[in-house]
Amino acid sequence: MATLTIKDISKSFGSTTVLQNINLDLADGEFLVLVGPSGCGKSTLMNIVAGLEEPSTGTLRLDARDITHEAPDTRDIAMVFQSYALYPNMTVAENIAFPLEMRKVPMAERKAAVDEVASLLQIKHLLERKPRQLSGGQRQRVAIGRALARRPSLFLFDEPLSNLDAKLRVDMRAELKKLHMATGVTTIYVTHDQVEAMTLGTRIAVLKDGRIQQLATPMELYERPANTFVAEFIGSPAINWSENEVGSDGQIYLGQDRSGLVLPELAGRRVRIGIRPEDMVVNDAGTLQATVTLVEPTGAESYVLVRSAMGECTLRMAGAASYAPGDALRMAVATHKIHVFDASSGERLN
Amino acid sequence: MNRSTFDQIQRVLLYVVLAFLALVFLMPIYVMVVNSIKPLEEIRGGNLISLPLNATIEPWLQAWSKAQIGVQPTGLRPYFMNSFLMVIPAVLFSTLIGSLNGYVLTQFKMRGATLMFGALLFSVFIPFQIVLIPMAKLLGELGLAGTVKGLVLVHTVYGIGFGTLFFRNFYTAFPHELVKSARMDGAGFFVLYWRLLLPNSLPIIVVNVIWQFTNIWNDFLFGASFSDFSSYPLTVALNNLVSSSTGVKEYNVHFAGAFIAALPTLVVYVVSGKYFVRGLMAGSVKG
Repeated sequence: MATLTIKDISKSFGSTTVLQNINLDLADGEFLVLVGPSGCGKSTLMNIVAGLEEPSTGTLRLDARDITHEAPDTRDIAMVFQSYALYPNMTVAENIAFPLEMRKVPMAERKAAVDEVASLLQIKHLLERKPRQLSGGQRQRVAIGRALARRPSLFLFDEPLSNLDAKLRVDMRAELKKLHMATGVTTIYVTHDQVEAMTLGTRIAVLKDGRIQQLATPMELYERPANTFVAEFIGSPAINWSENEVGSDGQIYLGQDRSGLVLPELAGRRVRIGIRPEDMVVNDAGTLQATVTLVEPTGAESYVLVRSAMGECTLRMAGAASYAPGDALRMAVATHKIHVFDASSGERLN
Repeated sequence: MNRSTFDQIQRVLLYVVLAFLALVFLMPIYVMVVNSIKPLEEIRGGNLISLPLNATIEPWLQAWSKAQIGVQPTGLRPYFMNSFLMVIPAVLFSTLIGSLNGYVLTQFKMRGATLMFGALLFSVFIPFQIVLIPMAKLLGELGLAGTVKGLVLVHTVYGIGFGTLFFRNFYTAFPHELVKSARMDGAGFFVLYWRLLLPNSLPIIVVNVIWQFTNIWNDFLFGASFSDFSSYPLTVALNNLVSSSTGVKEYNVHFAGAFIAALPTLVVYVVSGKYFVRGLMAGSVKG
């Protein structure tokens, strides 16, 4: 149970800057997800919080305590690694007890702690096994158990689900969320998977090139992305783009058609317009004409690729789509669903 | 000729060649064994290849405890002990120091680590002869000249280079997340080494032990240079046995003595050979 304050953290290796002025505040019990493409600096930030790397500038505070230069083992932070990092020469029980043993916790207490997390994670029957005798999902549980047994103030997860197969990943994701709700430990979770980010986080920080692009709740991130990078990174299928000049009266055009959205202050400016696949609605009264090029059914919903004056677009429809390639249709877009960004800087304008 | 007969002929040829090569390699061992259990007259009769007519273990007993080594009729036994007293600590120390070096060189960001490793590696290529005189001087200064302890020191120092090379390459492939995790769990420098690195290094420990054991056991030059009557290792004693002359050359005793000297390395290989190959391959493929 703790709050974490990350203030002005920067990190550079020689002349390469990996992190630039990162500022984050985690409330007690918060589940913050750091998401971004590989090389965005999210793992470096995680290592700095863990104490495995020193920041070039900035400070870290856990509650009132300045931990910027503290050793990793005295920070009261536990981490679950992507490779699980279970000690291969120790049994499951020894693995879970190891951090406690290092802290000179008496044997009886250690055993009690191991039993407690083992029943919580349903790994009691595995305690005497070695890590190599476990499946991927079981290893994952043991790694979480080892982190839990310490009762840390802060949990770090470094892409913990990326080595699991698709089905197990979904199950473990739900379990992680339940676990967090049950324990209430403040958590930072690193991933490059936007679905994991959306489903798990109470807030999400999107990182790119060592900078936070946006820090917001999952729905805010989805509905009001701060720039083109965030708009594109979050959401699958990806947002539809078209580039255009704003009319002299401030009218936003979709292809040649007036969208109805008027932003007078942008008159004559070159903008990128983003529309989510579910916000492009088939409507016989719509002004935007399109031709179907491909239909992708996924079961619960279908993606219909069309060609229109806006270029190639994807439409998301519930259930099976009753279209075939070559069909013509008309679409409409609600004005409040249109995202407008500056064409050169990529910043949000509406 | 169809495909399968061609394959069969190839296969037969392969086995013939392999059998011939095996014979070439085994021949000396055969000669040593049969002649070490023959009475001397049978050898002097001139046939080295034939099996013994009256097999006897007397030459082995002679070589072990009675043969003339230099001026003493002690057999090889005391020198066999010397060799063990030399090889066991030397292997132990050089393995420990080598693995500690490898640990430090790979798991810590250290200024000049590459340079330091280069220097250690260079020590592998220094010929023994070059260090003879400085080492003799050093051992004299330390009061270890002519003792088994002195030999232990020399071999330990010489073993560090190879040991470091083996362990450094092994630990380079050691998962960094394990080390990070242990650091966060509270393991310090030695705990990390003792509880995590070393218990997971069995293949490379075996490689290093075999390598050092064989080299140190078989060494003649350092043994001949830095020891005296009381501290000769087995190799030097064997040479003395063969060159001590009491009139007749006792070839059967020499053969037995040579075999005694070779046995320990043979045993080490047979017992841990499969780990040796495995260890050499470690890291080259993903396990």
